[in-house]
Amino acid sequence: MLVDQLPDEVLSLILSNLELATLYRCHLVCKHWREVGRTDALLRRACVNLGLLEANSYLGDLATTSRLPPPTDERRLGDGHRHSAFELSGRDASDAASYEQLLKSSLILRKIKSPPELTSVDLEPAPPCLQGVVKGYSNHADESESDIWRIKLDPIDNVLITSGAKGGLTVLDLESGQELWREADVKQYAHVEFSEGYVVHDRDGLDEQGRETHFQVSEADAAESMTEAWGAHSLH
Amino acid sequence: MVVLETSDQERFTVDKDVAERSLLIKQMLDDLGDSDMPIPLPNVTSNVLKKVLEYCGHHRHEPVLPTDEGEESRKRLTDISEWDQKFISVDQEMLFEIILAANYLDIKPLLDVGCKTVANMIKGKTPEEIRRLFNIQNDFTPEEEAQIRKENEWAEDR
Repeated sequence: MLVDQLPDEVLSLILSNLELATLYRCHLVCKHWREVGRTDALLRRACVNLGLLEANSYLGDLATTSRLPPPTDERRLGDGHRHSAFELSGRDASDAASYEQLLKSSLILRKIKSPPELTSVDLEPAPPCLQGVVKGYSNHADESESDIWRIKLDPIDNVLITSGAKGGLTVLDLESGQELWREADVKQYAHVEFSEGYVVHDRDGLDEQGRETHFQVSEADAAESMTEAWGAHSLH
Repeated sequence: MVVLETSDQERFTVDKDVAERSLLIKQMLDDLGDSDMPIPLPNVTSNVLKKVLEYCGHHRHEPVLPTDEGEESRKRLTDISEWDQKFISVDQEMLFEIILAANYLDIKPLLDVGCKTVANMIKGKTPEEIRRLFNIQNDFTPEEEAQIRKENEWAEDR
């Protein structure tokens, strides 16, 4: 008596007891296992087990009833923009190709939401390029000012840009760790990018002319002073 | 009492409530009405039926769950009870025979225990280890296998 002699519905029942990772490893065993292990019924069951579908509901139900719940940490994905697994994969629930697509996009989303743990590196002694970072960070004796939310490193202009959890934006010289300039009027948890001499950070509210703005673009002049190049551009 | 006859013409006389753990036998008894006729089970051998009846005897007082509806809403039993674990600790050949008999005789809890046991054997193994475990021929070309492996990368839990 071999496993091959079991009817398909029994093999399917066996496979339905497996975690998703093991189920997909079973697809590599042989062609027959892959066929049995990829039926809609089995993949739908996997969706139910992972909480992506209600018990006894089907893919078609998703379009009319519940969407996937939004991620709990919405702040990190941007205000007012809720992602679901389907949006991430560029599909709407109503035209999702298959249960496999649902599983795949949901799993990728979960992996993004829980990235692998970073391992810390010993910075004593810090490599030359990072000495400015360490120094710059420890320059802030006041705890409230060292409250760093985001760090961007520009190795071309040798600057380090940080935005604070309590607001504010600081640009430090990478070599010396000296503060080149800072802007206090930047919102909390600001996203910040730096490229080719321009600093971009998000903001909300109205600019001086009363226009609704989403981003502020500024130009850093030779890493010494800051001149506002474009003012507050309305980018919608 | 009910008389069951196996494929190798052995007869087993058992209590009705034990025999009726099998929904197939229950259906046959309902159809036959009162009769002393032995019930033929042409798909089951005596050594397997002996094992199956041992299970049915142990679980004779438990409620029989409906097979089809509410299968998913029913509490999923992730663990196998201690008695069941001991009962199902048999060689691979017998394990598959029991699963096959449970499927044929329509004894859902026993089928579940068997399938979970096989699933536990598969857990944590590589495709090659699974093939070796069950003596399965790999009918993929190396190219096909590499392709599927690549396609399935998203499902790996790393």
